[in-house]
Amino acid sequence: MKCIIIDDEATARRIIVHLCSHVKSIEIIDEFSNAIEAIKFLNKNEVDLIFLDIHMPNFTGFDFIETIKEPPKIILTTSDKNFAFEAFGYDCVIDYLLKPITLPRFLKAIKKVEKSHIHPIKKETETNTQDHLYVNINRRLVKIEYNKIYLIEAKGDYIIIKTEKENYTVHTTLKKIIEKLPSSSFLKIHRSFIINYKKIVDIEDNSVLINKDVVPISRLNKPELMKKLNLL
Amino acid sequence: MIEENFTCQQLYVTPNTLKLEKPNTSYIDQLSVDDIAFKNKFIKLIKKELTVEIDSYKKAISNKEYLKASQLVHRLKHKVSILGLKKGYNLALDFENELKENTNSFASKEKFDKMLNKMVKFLECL
Repeated sequence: MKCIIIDDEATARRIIVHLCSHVKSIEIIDEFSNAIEAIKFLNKNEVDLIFLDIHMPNFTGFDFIETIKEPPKIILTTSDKNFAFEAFGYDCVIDYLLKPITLPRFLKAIKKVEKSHIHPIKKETETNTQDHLYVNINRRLVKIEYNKIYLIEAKGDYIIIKTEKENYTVHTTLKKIIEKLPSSSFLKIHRSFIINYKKIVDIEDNSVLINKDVVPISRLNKPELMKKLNLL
Repeated sequence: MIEENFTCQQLYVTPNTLKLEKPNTSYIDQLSVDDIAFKNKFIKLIKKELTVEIDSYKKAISNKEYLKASQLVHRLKHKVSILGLKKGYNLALDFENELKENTNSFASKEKFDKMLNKMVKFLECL
């Protein structure tokens, strides 16, 4: 686990470095006496865990959490008991250690960190913020914007990505491509079809008209599609 | 100035002989285990940082910068705990709040200053 320490007090930082020396899986990659320097560091580097002091002049630990976009796991450290309630209002805060920190309490916090899983949330956010994907066609990476795609059809070992201007044949599976697409627009409605449901023209019984293509809806997938539609 | 005369003998107490609240190395010993090199370096660091923090605290008080002084008392509070002063922690907490509220009647100041002096003298003896 790559970690950093943010605390304006050198004594407090020294204690955490020493406590970390008891845990093989922890690597302290840097320490900061103020949160601003740490933010600059995090813009260029990834860390798994931050030991963060709450009470720092000018820019508190809570200001820090509010500022960074995708905070990693955080263990808060403080001399005050009063902030515990506020601290656990943040999903990224795994534990709250009162100073001076003892080894048994420190080890307990590290165990909590190892058991916690907050990164899947981060991954989903990353996927959803993209508005396009690149596909490999004849050794060329072609950019396709999501909002141009209306249909994706499986054909053996290939898929056909259909846009209003042209179709792209790509060597992959529907299962792989659906992981890349935002669920706010795309839905698998049949074992061979994924549609951009925002481009549906009409639905009749068990088929969908999308652009000029008529696509079957499987019985299993129909309820999910109906949920997504803005029905009167 | 915070002045009081102590001898090292009067100040140095182990946790077993502790009757009245006096600074002790219980936490530092627990943290260091048998790592003497770490212990010595750590004590040196506390001495250095404590001196700087006390100077800044005194300056803030004499300049009537009470909010700044409260932040410095907050930092000193950690060192109060490191030196095993449990009642001292509560005293520091009260004083920190008095400074934040800026009532101009800092009831805890005298006791707090005496405690700081004890801490400095204790560390000098280590």
